[in-house]
Amino acid sequence: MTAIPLAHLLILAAALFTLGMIGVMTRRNVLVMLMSVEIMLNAVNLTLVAFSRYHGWTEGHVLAFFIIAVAAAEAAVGLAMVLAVFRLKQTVYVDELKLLKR
Amino acid sequence: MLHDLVLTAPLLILLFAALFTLVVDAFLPSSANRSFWGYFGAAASAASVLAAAGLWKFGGALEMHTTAFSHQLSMGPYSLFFIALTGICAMVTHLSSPKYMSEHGSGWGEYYALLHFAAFGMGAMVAAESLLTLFVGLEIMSMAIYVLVAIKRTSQASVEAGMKYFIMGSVASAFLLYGMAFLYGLSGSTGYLEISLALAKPGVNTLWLALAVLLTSAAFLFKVAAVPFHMWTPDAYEGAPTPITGLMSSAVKAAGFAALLKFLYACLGGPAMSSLHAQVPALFATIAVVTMTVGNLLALTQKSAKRTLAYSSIAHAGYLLLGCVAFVADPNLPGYQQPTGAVPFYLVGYAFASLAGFSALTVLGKGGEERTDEEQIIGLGRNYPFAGAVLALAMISLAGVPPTLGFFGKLQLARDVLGVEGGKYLPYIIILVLNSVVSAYYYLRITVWVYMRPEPKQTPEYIRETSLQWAMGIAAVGILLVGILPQRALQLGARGVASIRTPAALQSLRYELAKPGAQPVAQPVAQPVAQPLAKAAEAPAPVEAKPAAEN
Amino acid sequence: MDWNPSAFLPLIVGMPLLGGIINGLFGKRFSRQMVYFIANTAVLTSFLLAVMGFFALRQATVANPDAAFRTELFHWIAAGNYSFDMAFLLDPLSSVMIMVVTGVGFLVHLYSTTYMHEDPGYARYFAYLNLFIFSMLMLVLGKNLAMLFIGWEGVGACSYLLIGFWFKDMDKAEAGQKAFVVNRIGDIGFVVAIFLLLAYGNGSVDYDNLKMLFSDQVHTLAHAPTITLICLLLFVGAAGKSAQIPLYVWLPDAMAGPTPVSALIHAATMVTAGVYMIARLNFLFALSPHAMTVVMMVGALTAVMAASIGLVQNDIKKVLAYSTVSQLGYMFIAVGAGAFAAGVFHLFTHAFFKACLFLGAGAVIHAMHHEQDIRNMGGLRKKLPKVHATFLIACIAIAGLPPLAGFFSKDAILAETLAFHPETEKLEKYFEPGFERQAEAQVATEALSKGKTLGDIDKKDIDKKSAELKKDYIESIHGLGLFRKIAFGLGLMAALMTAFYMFRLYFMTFTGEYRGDKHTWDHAHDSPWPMASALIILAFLSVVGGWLGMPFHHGEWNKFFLWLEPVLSRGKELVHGHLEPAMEYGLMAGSTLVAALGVGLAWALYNGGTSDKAPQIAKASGPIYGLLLNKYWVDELYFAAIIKPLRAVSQLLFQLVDRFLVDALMVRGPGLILLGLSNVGRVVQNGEVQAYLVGLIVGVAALAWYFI
Repeated sequence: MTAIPLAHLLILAAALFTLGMIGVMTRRNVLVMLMSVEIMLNAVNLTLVAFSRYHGWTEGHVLAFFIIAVAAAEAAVGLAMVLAVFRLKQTVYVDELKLLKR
Repeated sequence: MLHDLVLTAPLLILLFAALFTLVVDAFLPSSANRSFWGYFGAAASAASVLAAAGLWKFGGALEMHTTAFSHQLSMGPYSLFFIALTGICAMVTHLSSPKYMSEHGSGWGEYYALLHFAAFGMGAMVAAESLLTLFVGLEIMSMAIYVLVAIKRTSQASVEAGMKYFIMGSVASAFLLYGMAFLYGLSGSTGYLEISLALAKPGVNTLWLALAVLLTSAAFLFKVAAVPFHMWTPDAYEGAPTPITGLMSSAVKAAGFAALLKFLYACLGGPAMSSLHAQVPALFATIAVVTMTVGNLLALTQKSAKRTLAYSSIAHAGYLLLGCVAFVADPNLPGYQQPTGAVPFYLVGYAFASLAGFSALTVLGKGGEERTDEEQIIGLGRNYPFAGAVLALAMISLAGVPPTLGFFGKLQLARDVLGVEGGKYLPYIIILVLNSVVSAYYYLRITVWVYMRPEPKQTPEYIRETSLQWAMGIAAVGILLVGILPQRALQLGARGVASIRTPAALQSLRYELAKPGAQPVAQPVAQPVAQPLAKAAEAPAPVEAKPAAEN
Repeated sequence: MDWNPSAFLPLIVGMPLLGGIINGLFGKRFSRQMVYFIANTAVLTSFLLAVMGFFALRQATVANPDAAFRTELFHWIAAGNYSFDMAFLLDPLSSVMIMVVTGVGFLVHLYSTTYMHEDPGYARYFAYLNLFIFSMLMLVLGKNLAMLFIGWEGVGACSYLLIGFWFKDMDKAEAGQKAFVVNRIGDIGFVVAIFLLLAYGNGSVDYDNLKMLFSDQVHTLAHAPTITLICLLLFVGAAGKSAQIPLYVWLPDAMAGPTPVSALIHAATMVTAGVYMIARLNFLFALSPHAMTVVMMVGALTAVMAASIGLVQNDIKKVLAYSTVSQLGYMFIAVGAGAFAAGVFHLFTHAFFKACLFLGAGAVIHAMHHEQDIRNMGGLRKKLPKVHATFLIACIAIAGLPPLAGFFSKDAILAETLAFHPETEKLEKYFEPGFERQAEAQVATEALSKGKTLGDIDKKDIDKKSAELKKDYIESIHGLGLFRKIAFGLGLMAALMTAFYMFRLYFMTFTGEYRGDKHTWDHAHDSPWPMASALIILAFLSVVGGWLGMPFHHGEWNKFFLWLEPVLSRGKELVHGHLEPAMEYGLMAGSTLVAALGVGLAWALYNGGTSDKAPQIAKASGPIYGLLLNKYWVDELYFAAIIKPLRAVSQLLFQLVDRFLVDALMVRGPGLILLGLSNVGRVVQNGEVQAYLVGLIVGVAALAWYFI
């Protein structure tokens, strides 16, 4: 099995990160925005794991596991907040949250 | 193992207090009055502060190492200083909460548990010695704060503020992690020490380093609310329950800056950054002046005191960022002076002032409404003299009128920054002075509302509660003490900063660790490692160690 | 007396603080008598201690002319390479100042017990007044610039509180804010100057340290332009506090406060802080003839401008306010000309007669039921004999007629302005190394730009360049001589106008027929004794105060100047001069003549209270009269040129950042780019959170652009 070059993995991760970023900037639905953030986090995971695999390091894997765990917690908090918003305003679209401004 | 547990006691106390609160609260009848959690929380925070004080005082005598859990956390003077500071902030927040939160229908046990978690997270991120602990600590703090901002579930403003803060915060976290991934790629490790050593080697990929620095800095700048990453701040501050706003502007800001400084200094600092040194200090200085200017100018046109203070916190972030310039400056250039305790010192003063301000505004939250506009503040000085006096004192302190901390704090910052490249940043200092002059206008305006306007016809109702008065009292005493006797806080802060492992100290430390069979370097808590290696002549005399906690 | 007053220096400062705190916290629960007792006792104790301190110091100076008492309370802050101490210094200059502050302060307290009798906020008033005395004492008794600055801000704060004392009146609250804002502008200069001095003074702004540092015959570090910059920045601060052009606009408005406050703060003490500061730092200012000339000219212009506005004002307090600005200008002429002792002397005498005038005006206003327009007064001589007599004495004193106080101090200022000149040789020597380094740098730059190496530089070139620089410097100092003559001329002009408008005020108020409404006249009554006694003491001092500074007998009779000599020695070393006795008597005669002319003019036009000629002259002078009446339209100018644009900028920034940048640019702009990227025909989003997110990303992009 030929090794995939590090650069390819990094470029893929960068593309994913950018995609996530665009998603979170353009989508109005909070749930989709949360998913986009997940994509960004997973791009980071990919970067970490790619470095680890390429150089034979280990700490990157550990960090990636922690990121996965924290991302899960984040999703829980996010969904709870979506519920709270929905109860009050019957919407999951962020552009309808414009009470606080100036 | 026991060593680790003793060393991290200040953090573990908070963690257990959080879990205890959660579990016990679940068994209480829903009709039970939960105000006692406020006192319990304050007691637990105080215990944590005392534990930090004890470690500071006796850690040296016990000849303990300063790092715990395989160099994941360091509990040296720097960490203890900030753990004590955030602990005091948490204590004041606990005390100011009970009546306010029950008036706003959210005085449940989990509120207090989350406060403990937030304080725990702050402690962990300040003490972190590796990217991993930094990230975990930061997330524990942030997630607790997201929920605390949104905890008034029936209030649209609160939930909306929490939502916005959450979305922004998680994007910022992603940036931080991506930056960390690059640092990992450059060094093959997540430990600060290893990273700084790897970056010190010649031939570091500058592009990656630049990416790593900019992504991580962006995330930290977001946390401390610097322009242009500040836009969440006014909304989150306004929507959050007032005690939480106080916590955010004091403890969260302090923890953010503390972690940023340590990260810059211990992880990125030193020869490692020499390829970027020309740019980084100038960048921080520029962001700093833009931040303070935007914060102050926007604060001028605000109508609500709470929102004014939100913009004011952006301005103060600007002042503090200018102080950070000294931490990223190239030590090899002529005319370099080691940064002193200016930033920690300023953070102490700012924390007490904003705690006092927000706890006095908490008084106005009667009946589940936020009423911090001009009409509602007028007459506070007459109808509730104590709260009025505390609010006025806080404003005077924030404005930087000399007998309080503002003047000396800024002078310290100026001194640190002027020590960089032979006073290259003097124009920035002048902008700082100009800004503090502009800011005096809106601080004074709030004081005028308190005392110098004809009273309204009907007297507004206030939250009058013993624990809230304690909170205001503690914050006010803090302002006065640090204002009248700044020396102690300044020395403690300076010792804290001196104990961060400085770039110069890193090399020798690493080699001693790497020798086969060598015992790990004993680092008595009271004797910071960096001290003998830094300017021995300037090392502060061994003062009686007594952390800020007891000030 | 061989006791050491060092021990009670903190007590002098502390008594008013204690009084202020007690009255501030518990005053509402005390009876009126209790409040009066506490406030008056506190200040009186301070005054007695100050007098004791003076005598002890006099005793000590017999043995050692440079004697001074120093008390260090505690190290306030010491970090890295600098330190501030909470420390007090009693030397000849500060002993004079504290006696003026506590003495006039006590009289004003005494006067206020009657004046504020009907006011419900008396406890608050006395607490503020005591705190003011405390801050002012911190200012003059502090041992370093940091203490001075703390007092500086403290007196400012008390002044705003007292200007806005009747805050229920919006105009008066605004006047307080105006004073605040203008003073902060001055403070910028002051703070930056302190920062620079910290750098120069090796981390200490202690007077002893600074004096030592700047008293060497040669200074290895100093550059003449840097010293000038520091002095000018300090002067910006002084101009703010002491109401000089262009920052004088707050003082006339500050008359909104209670009249005793105007007497104490806005005439006798606080506004003279700038003069005190320059006199205190005479060793620094004397090193920069250029900065001194600026100080002198600003003072001279202020003196004339304010006096000319005073000519046509009709509000009794406004006339006195502009007169104060004008007299402060006089003091700045003095310190700018190097006549530091004369400046402090005028400060000293002015404190008496101006306090007397203000308190007298207060008594008139009190008697007239808050009528302040002199057009509605007249003939009050009959109703208020005590006030009339003291007011007349103070008027003569301020007009500069011998042998009253104003004559001697004004004459000293005019004479020394004309006679003094900077000691160029000493200055040259002092800055010698500075010139050499400057020359070195210039020659080196020149050589490098021509492609030579530093090794090629000839020592002779450097010497030549250095000599050139020195020559330019000396010539520029000689060129400043002309300004002294101009300042002298302006000073004489201001003296003429002062005599005129003071007596216009006097005649219109006290002589002729009463022109107001009958009811007020019937109820007008002379001042009760606490008020009158303050007036009489001040009038007495206005008569004899000047005798301390007799110019005769080669200065040996001039006790005041001799007393200050040790503090001002360095200043005198660098700027001095000699006046021939004949010339001196000539000047005295001249200034007496000018004053008499002013009084005579006023008598001709206004004796009897009104005149037909005055309106004719006003009409004849046309636009000039309008210009003066409207105070040169300075307030309007500032509003149009500064305040309006500032408001507009704030508004604009708000619009720009929030509406335009966030809503329009950040959302729509990158949105369009992203549209192409994501290749989806999507409607551009306009949600707030996403606007913020775009801000975040733009920030990252900006950072990236900066780095890469």
